[in-house]
Amino acid sequence: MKKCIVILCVLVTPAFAQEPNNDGFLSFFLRFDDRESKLSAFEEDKLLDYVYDLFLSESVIIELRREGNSFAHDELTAQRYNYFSEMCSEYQLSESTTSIRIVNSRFEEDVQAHARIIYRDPNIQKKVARKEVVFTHPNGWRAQCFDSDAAFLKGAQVRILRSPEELNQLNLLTVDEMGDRLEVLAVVALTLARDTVFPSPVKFHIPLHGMAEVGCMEYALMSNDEYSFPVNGGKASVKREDGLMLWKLDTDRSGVYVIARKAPDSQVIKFVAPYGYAILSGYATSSSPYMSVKAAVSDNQLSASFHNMPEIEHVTCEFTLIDLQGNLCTIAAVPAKMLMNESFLSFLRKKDPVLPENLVAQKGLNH
Amino acid sequence: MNIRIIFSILLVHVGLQSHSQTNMPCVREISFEEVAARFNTHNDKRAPMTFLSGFSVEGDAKSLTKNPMQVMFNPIANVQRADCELMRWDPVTRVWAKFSGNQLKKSSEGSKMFWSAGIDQSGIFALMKEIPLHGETNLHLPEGLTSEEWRYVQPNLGVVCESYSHCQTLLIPLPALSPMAQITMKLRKVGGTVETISHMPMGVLVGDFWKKPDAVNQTWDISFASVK
Repeated sequence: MKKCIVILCVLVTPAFAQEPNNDGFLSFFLRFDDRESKLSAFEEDKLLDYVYDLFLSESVIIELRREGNSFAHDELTAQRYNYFSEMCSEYQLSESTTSIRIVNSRFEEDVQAHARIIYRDPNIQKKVARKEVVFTHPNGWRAQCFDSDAAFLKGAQVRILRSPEELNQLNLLTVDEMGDRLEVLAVVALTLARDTVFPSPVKFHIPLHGMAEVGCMEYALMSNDEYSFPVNGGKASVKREDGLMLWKLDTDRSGVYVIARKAPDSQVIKFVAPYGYAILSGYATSSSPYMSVKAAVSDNQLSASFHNMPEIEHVTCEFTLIDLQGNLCTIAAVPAKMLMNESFLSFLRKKDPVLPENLVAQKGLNH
Repeated sequence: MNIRIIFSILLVHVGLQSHSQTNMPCVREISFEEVAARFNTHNDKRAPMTFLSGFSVEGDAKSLTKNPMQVMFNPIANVQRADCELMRWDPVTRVWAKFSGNQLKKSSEGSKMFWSAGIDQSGIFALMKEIPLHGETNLHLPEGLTSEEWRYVQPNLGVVCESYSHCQTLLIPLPALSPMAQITMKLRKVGGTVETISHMPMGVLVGDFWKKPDAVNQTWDISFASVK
């Protein structure tokens, strides 16, 4: 009984589990030597093989057989009872889950045995019924979750960004990783209080007022140099339910999600640099549907193209140019149609012969 | 571009040994400006490549062979890992050469992804990307001038080309040139003196760029008329 250190070995020794009963209980038998109150070394080793399982079991029953009715038998049984009591305290088997009983009959499965230990199989998972509830936030979104998780949703925030101004603030490029242009219908920012991560996904139902029923893709925003989208977004849809356009999302944590679809247009708009200037970068935006794309600047920096564009009526452009002296010039929010009809340079000169009012000049070569 | 150098656990383990402290390799980042000033971006076939990131490693050869270090690069937007190669500078031939183990692998640190490669030798290394468009542009010098050496630097493409051959037509191995690219030339007047033109924007020397913005594989005449 003093081999406490052996328990370390026991921890890694697989239990030689018996066939479980229907109720998930296992059992094993032990023998004392004749007239002895302590187990033999062999039987102790056998007991140690099971100690870890007993420790984990929620219910352990030790049945001790009384061999006769004499006082001598009673004394021996009492000594053996003390043996198991000590064993329980030594291996920290809980008193509340362990009981020692004295029985008078032999054990049917092993008639020579002096003790039987019955315990619940610790590998059987505890089945707990968890109640599901639907949490409704005062702002109108719902979440289907377990009752215990509902408390964590009270501090959660759902922000829906749909206006071009709000989307512009995100610095969101509406192209996927392959460079295909996307039409962004809405951006949903879900923020759970204290960075909560739920053990299992919660089903959010988020109303999108003023949006038509539409099949689309759902992209989890990736943060890079600029926001970008993974090519393979999850399938999403906005569907009418309970009289509302609902977007359904299964997630266990905070995130920013984009409801978008691939743009069907295939128009290319190309701009050529004015004399004496090179193009460093260019952006095109349109508001309906929201779009913000970066120009593909040619290697020689003399032209910039936007691919898969919609009709240019609502498209505005922004360009950063550089002149041969290294001065940077930014042309901001110029209607694309205006730039298409005349060259950059004439556009710049028409506004102001020296420096146009929407031209910001900055010294220094900065590639 | 940022690079992160993380030594292998083994190297750190060895580094903890007292006598090995002096064997720790010295790693230094190399910028494009340094490449533009001292090196080029030619591969071993003299084709220009795009410079993405670079670093130098100085250390005890035996120690590095025994305990290679792992170099980790941040992924670069719009660049595929498979298109990139880690190359080693050959100072004799003045080109970047491939070496065994130069392929980048995916690795992660926590939830962050990196590209990594093992380094087991000293030297100067650069992460390079092949330029998909091949071609050449000729720059014709005015009569009476020959170039003894030139260096073409185009930062937007991460390209540095150079040549040390005497010629009147500079052959730049790119299909199109940027007016903002800079050229440095050592020019000799026939039977006369040598003059160096440094960091001159190409747009100053070749005004015709804007007449044909889509031209490729073109021959341009260099004019010094607008050079002050």
